[in-house]
Amino acid sequence: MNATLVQVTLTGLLQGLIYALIGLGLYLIFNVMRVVNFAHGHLVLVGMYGMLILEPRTFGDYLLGLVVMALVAAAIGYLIERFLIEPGLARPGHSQLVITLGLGIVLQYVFQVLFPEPFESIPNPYPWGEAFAAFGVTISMPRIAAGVASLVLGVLISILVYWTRAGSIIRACAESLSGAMHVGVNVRRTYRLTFALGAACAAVAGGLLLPIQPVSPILGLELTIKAFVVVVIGGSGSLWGTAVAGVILGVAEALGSVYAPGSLATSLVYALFFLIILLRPQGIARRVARA
Amino acid sequence: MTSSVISAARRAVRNLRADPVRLVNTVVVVVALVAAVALPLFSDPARVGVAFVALVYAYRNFTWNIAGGYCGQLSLAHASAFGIGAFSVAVLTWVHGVNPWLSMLVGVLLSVILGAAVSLLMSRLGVNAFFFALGTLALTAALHGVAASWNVVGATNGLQSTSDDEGLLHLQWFVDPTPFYYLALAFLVAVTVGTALMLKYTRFGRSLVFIREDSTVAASMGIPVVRHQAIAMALSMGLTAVGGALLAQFVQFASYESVLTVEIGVSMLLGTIVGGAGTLAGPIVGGIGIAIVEELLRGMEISSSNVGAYTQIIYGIIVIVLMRLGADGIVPMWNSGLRRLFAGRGGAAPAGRHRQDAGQSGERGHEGPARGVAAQATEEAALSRGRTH
Amino acid sequence: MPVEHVLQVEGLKVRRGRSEVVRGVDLVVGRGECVCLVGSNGAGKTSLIEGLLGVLPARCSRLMFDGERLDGLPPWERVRRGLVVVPQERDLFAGMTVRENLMLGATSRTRRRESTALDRVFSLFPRLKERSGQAAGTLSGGERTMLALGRALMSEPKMLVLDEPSLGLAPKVVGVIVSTIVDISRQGTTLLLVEQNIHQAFAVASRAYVLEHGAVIAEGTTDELAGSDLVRHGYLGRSARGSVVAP
Repeated sequence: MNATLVQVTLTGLLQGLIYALIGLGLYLIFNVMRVVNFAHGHLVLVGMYGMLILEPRTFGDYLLGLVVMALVAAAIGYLIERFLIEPGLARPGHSQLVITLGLGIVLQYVFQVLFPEPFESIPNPYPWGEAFAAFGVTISMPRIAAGVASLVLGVLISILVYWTRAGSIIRACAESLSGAMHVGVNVRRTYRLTFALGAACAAVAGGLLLPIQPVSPILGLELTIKAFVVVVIGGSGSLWGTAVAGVILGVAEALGSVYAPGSLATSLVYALFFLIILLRPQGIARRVARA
Repeated sequence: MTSSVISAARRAVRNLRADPVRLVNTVVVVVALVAAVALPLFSDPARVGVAFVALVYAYRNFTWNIAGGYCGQLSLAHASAFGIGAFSVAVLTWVHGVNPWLSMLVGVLLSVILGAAVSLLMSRLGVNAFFFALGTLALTAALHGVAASWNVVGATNGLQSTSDDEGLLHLQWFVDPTPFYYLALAFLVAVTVGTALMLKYTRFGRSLVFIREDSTVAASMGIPVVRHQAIAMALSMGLTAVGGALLAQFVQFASYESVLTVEIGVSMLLGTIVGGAGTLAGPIVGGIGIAIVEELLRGMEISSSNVGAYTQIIYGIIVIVLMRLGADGIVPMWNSGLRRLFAGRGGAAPAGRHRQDAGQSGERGHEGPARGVAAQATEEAALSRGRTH
Repeated sequence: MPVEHVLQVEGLKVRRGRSEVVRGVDLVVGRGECVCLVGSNGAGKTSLIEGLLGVLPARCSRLMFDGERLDGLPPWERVRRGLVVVPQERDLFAGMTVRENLMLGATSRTRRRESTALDRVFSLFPRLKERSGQAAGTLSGGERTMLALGRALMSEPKMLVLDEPSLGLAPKVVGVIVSTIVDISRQGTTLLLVEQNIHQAFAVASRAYVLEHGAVIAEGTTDELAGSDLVRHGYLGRSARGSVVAP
């Protein structure tokens, strides 16, 4: 019984790291641009379906696929930001909310039309065996690899944000957009690059997810909500907040699924999110309100 | 008594003649109403059934619009109300034999409570618009998942109607969908007229636009913002539940996947915006438009499972384009097009007048004097706060 | 005028929302000059600066900065050309350290040597050097103003615009700030000082523009204006009666 609990917790932790990566992308977009990207989960789908199309047969193909998906998603993110979101930022009202909502719906149904077969996946692309077993715990290799890869990517992005000049510009925009403009930061370009980076994070996470979790268009909204859970719980502190929040979400979801059937566990997560929105919107809400 | 009615009628006619835009719109509405009433006489039952569904779409868009378009509360919780309405009928009537009108009432009450609770909680805790949308989205998603696991509402199988009773009392007709159609039409007209009157003649109704434009300014004008927002949500959600109940009775089936999905909620929002949020005719046009597009797609021999998908894609793209261009939706564009057409003839309505008569396509609150007042008030408030300019 | 102009504006009109808050202003600032823009609350001073930066919608017949046209350029591009503004709200990066704030000030530098600029700022504001590892949000009001000034100086601006530098500061701190501004001016930086307080402004600047209701009602050297009826009768809040002193 104990081993199962450990197994479930570990599984949840690894899944949570992937959630953290998705949330990281949204965190960047949200904090720098104050944009609520309702299509973020659908960008993850772009990565998943993209990888499905690429059908990698070898590990090399798979890695290449991840890189390709990152670049494609970055390009898509850039285009979305430049042509759909940026023009609406100056205007009052909630057009970006509606635009990203509409975008998410379009993406969801485009995927539905293109991929009528639900729940497709790809086989284990990793060359290190099917699963890893130790101390009575067995975890599938793709899951371990995905979790570790997410962590590594998270660290790399942290380094980018906290140790490079480009990163300090991103942080400056998140702190004070007006201030950034007053020191000569090209705010427009920062927006575009940030959105592209956020989209790339989402798509790579999607590519990592595909061997573990079959893809279906309805995942889009679910992943969007989970990304927001990570961002809101993680708070507006540092990037590590999202890592911790992602792990919390993953573990909570995994433990929940032990004691409740699938959809109920996710519902619990959503209900909890609703409560979290009610109870601690401070830093986040103030930030969005200032925009 | 008669003389006051006559003079009121005379005044109305005078107003109409002075304003060609309103005249055109009145004619359009009258023609549409006549066509709607006559439709079943010229269509086969299948088409009437499709028309009924179109009316349900229009109806739920309209009820969403009360809170969403007029009061500015972009809610994704209305799908829950729709689902609650459907499930109330499914559980109470189909399983326990309660009269469907009573079940509908229960559904309405539950939705009213939910709407008020959500709004009050969010307002008290200072949740802004984005998190309102996010929170209501999460709420609907949560209820969707709960319904999938709850046997009372049929879990993944859903509930089926097994009742044999027919007639208005039992809200059920088996062979001919025409009564359903007229019932839906009656509800739609009632809710439209009621809303128009409410917006114009009640303090509550008049305050909604101010709350949408700037709630801080509205509060400083003495409007009880939190209370009115809660009333708007409660009213809006309660009325939406009726739509869910009607549809469930018609289809004789209800499941978590058919009546309580986030996609339904998004569809209400997007459909209303395409038609024109904040107008009376907008959501109706948007809703009927969805049905028209679906029919067209079916005519083009697209598989039935994809028809819904393509419709959503089309509507999504339209919304994105509209938002991108800063446009307001079909009905406002129609109105401004008409106004431009008549402007040269000196028949433009004087800027001050901004009435929304029953059955008219009202102008978006944005362009009326409400907007100017609100904007001015904001400016003065900012200046009085002593900003050095 | 014999002095070379860094800033030359003609017919500047700035809109804030629906109202026109700056209604046709002509302004010149010569190289190395310290010019001040004075006016009461609501006169349009900050709007004018925001219009120059391009933050507010503005129209003008001429906007030349160091020989280049600025109209049409986005705000950050104008900053990169050397038009650096220290806004009233200071807009510091509160969660970042003093040092990080200063280094970000050097974003628009064309020549890399940030460390030289940093040394210069630290010598001007030794207090900032003491607190270089502290988060900007934890600084006192005076230190914040110093940081904002220092950050602006990091890019070696062609013209430095200060929007009410002494706003909200204790009198003793104001003295420090004012003397620092004088130092900056003496070191050769071109300054445009926006102030409500005429006395402070006239203590530092050599020329002045008086703004009221979005229009320049007087301009000239500070010596001329100091003795004018306008200033002597204390014009704050009251519209000028009669004497508009022409340069």
